[in-house]
Amino acid sequence: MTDSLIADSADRLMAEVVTPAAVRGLKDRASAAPVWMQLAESGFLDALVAEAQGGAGLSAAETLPVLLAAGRHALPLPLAATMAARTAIAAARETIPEGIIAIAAAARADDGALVAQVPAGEFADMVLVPDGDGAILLAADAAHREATGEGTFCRMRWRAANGPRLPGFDALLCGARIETAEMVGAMEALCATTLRYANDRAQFGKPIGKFQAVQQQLAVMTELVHGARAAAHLAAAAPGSMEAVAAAKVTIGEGAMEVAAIAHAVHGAIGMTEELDLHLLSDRLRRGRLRYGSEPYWAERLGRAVLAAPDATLLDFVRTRVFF
Amino acid sequence: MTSLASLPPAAIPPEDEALRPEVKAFLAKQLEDMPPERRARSWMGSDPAFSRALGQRGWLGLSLPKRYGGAERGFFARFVIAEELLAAGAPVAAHWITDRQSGPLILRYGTEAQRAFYLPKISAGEIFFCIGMSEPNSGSDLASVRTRAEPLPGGGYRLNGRKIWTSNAAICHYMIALVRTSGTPDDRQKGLSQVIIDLRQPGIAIRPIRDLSGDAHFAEVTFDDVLMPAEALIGEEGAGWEQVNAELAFERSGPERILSSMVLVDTWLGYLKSLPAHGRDDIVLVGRLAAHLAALRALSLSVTARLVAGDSPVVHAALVKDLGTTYEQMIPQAIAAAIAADPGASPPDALLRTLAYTVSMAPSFSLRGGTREILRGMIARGIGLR
Repeated sequence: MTDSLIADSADRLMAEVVTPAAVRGLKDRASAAPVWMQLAESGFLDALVAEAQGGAGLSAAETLPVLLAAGRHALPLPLAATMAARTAIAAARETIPEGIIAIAAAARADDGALVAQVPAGEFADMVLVPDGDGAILLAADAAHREATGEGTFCRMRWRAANGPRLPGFDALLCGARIETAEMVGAMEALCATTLRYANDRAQFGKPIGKFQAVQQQLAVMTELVHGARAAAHLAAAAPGSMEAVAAAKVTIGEGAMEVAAIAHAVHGAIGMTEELDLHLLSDRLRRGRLRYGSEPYWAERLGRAVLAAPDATLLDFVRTRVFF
Repeated sequence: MTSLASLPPAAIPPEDEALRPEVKAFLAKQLEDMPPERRARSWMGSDPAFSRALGQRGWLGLSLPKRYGGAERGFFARFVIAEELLAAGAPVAAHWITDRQSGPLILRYGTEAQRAFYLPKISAGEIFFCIGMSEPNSGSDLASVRTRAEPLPGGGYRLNGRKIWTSNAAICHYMIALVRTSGTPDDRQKGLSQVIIDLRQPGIAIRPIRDLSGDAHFAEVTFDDVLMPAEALIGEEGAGWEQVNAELAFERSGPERILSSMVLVDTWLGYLKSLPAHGRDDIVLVGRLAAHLAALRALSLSVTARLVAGDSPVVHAALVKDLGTTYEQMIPQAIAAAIAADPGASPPDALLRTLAYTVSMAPSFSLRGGTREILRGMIARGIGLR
């Protein structure tokens, strides 16, 4: 499949299945089932799995359009996490389980149990949990699950952590990359919907988009979306690079705040209503920033790498460690 | 409503990337003794001998065809060399505008005779061009220019008027100016043309203007009954506005809109690396600087790929410039805060001088080549708001 074929079919699928009403209705595993069934039938689940293991063998860069489309529709389900998890499981020659797989951001031992923080954990059948220098695949049913109540993640607790091990799988890195890609999709949708509103809404006898003060804000929003998309492409091209993923999480996180603020400023009071879909997208950005480490976390990791590197210039560092 | 097309990611072809080590080695030797506060002048610092040395190495006119003395390497080769020159803080101002936009402009709109005359000398670093756009009463409102090239019976023009803020006019051989060749200022974009003015002819006065850092890179240029031959016209008479706008795509999307504060960054990093330990705020700032540089570079490369494809991505170039100069301006303010976060810290004098220069010049980053507000207006038009 070419890029635009993937993009087109992902867009069509999301528009049909991930409607604003469906997004509002997604609260837990039971409500996720009908939506998930249609997503699973799409064939995207094994897009990244190697051809030798029965998948389509696509790269992270080639499947970026699927993540962008998911973000544009504020899909709460961990479709991209499931895609990545199935790929890692297949690569480790383990059996791919049925259902929704979430990727935990962090885990710690607590009084003999394993406690993990799991974005989208409320929908998960299985969870990939960080474990040493790899990850371990655990059944969600075996855990005590406690949602935060605001949609960012679940706290999950396993008394006994038994499951297949995936050596070398960096859950935090993988989760952060997926999150940034979907955030860019949400930023694109916010920009498009705000632009439409600015052309439709009239005040003082003309569309508010005719006022320079509004135009300048929409120009900035457009710039930020283009910059964010460039960063998402970098991370997708180098999914194993801490530096590339860190660059994306930092810049996209910072851009997301500004894009959400401008979208709401231009929409005015109507943007504050439950009825308008705007908040589905701005809330997606809020969750994205909170998941898998925010900007200071990734900036610190990146900054430490810069200071430890022998490169003569920052450009040398960025050129050789982020661009591949 | 239209939205602005997203640009696919682009990478530098390996044969162009291969230029980098040689450029690095050359610069390490050339700039060995130049202190950071001078290197911080970046594309504002000029040294004609340095520019000629680049020409001798074949590093000018990279996008020009071989039959005109160019390297026929294209915009990515230029991108690589520009990055290294700017990151190192080489004094590139003498040839910068010539190489970036005058050469490509002459190639695109010039007659065969104009190409054959100017382009080989540009590639050799023998002649330098400045750009005559702003006038005392025409800044952001460029279409209001009043400098007039009056067509003479029997061919040629008589030029009268004044250009201002012309960078490096005093060391340049030619100016490519936007002038009125017909109509009145009320005709706005209509009746404007671009002319190549030989700055060594009678009737031209160049008055350098000192900037707030003490340099005198820009100038006011006065034309008093300057007689020009018909061949002074570049491109079509009356098409000056369109030509100028196409030129701005070259001017606005390159690494010079991202790297203007990079000598300061690397000087600060050098200082940090000399310290035994680092505070978290400093480390986070270093990471942010790296992260934004990466994203901006990716965007700039994407626009460069459009130039390679023969497009004129004017709106995308405006977008890169606004984002890039915002980054360039954030840097000196953030580093100033970081350096003095400890009231007792004693950073090296050279770092403080580099910071002082960069802070003082930073406002110009979003003025030169089109102000931030004008660029955002262009983007607004590009997304269908105007």
